[in-house]
Amino acid sequence: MAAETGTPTTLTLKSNDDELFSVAESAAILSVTIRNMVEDGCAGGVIPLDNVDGKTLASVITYMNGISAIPADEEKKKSYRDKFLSDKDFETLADMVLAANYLNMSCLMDAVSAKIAQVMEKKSVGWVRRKFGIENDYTPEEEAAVKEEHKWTFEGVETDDDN
Amino acid sequence: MARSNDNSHVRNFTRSIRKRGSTNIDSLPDELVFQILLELPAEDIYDSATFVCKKWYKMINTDNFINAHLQHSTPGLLIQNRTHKYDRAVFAAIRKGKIEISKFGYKFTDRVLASCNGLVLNHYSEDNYALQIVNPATKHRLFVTPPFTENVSRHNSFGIVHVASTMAYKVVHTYFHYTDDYLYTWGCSLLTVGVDTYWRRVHIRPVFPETAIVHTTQQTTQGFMHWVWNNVCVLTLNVETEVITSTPVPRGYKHVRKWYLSKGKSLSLLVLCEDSSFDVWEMKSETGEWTKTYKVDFEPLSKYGRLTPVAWLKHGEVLVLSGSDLTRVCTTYNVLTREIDCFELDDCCNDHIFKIHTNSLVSLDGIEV
Repeated sequence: MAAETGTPTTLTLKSNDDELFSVAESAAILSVTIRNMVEDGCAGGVIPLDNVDGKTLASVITYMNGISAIPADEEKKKSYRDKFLSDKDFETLADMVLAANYLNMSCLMDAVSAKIAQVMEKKSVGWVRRKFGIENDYTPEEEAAVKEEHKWTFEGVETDDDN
Repeated sequence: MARSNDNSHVRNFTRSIRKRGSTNIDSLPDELVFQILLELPAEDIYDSATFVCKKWYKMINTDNFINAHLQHSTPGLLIQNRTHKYDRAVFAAIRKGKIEISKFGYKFTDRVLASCNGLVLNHYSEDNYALQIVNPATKHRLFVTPPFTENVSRHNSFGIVHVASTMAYKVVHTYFHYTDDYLYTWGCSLLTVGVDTYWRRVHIRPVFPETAIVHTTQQTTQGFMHWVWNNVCVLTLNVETEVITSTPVPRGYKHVRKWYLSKGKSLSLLVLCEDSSFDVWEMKSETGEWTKTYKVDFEPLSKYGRLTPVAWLKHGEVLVLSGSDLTRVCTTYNVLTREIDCFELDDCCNDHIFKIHTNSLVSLDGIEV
């Protein structure tokens, strides 16, 4: 609900580890999840965000404030997003993509997905498994079958399975 | 509950013990994995992501993923040296606003003739007329019956076009051939990949001057092929209906430099005007109707000498120009932001062919000719 007096309305967000954050409503409603709560009148007290931890929420709020301060200029917003994500490590990016998904922030989600993919480029299968916490569920026979299917790929290429 | 009135973070309130580990990536829902994988280049997906686990393999090997990845990928240029250094082909694309050059993992053994949705049509070295379609990202290939080439001159060209309504790919061959009275005539034949075992002649109504060899420029747009006929008319083949129509080119540009280039969806005509600007025209493939769309200021490029436009990137936002004579440097010009960038080839520009190409996972698996 917009403030009638013209002073910016502030919302209080609570992370799943009980940290509280105050953020301008105009910035917070970049999240469709939060916007819906505001429109439904459920944003009066503290807004609990059960799927986001404090560290990630702090980062998302920095992004919300930063991007909403930029006027409608897609190029500038894009370069802000690039700069914002440039120093984030894989674990932070992973937490952010989950948070962006939960908060329904499509622009942030697209940017973080692209950044994760950029970090994954040219990495070995072992690296990807480790970072994504995925167990190799191929049996040696199945793996051989997929390699056979990809036989052109491995012609003359030295295999580098782990790194 | 206390509520802060300023915008600073009230982080020091009730810091409790973190409930979980540092990351939850292993709980990533499938749709987020799908979206992340869409952002990867085709070669990384094929060579690496498919080996991560069975779930990823299954997700990647679906028409849904392959099509979404194709739609999501930005078309770039396949640049190949045509002086027998075929394996030195490179891929040039705009990524993050900058031109990026990468090598192909696949070694081309002959000249690239055409490209569509990541599928490249090329000759196959052992036999000059044998044809193959290869996806350089997956290295899968398929041999195509070569066209009948008796009485056909060397002035032939090929195209590969996707027909959206039937999801089929058609290979188009155009040529000049001798008739019984030793005249040259222009002909066109095509073959539906995986369906036809022989090439079908396309009926050409006498809608264009059919005498002597004239200069033609071939371009491909979505579902169509175009041949600019001696700067007089454009012949357009609707690849779905297999009908060729002829339309005149815009008038009034007789003695000026001009180029016909595909924008992907439509054919464009660039005309260099006296005031160092380009008039850009676009043709609707369905009707052959030309419209003057905008003027491009060429002034920022004037200090780079005589440049030749070779292709559009980013759906008509970035123009790629090759330098003249012996220069190896190609220039890119963003017509919206006027940003100029350049990249260097390993031989002079004139020795190269430039084909619009998208790195994709599209395959012709299950299709046998």
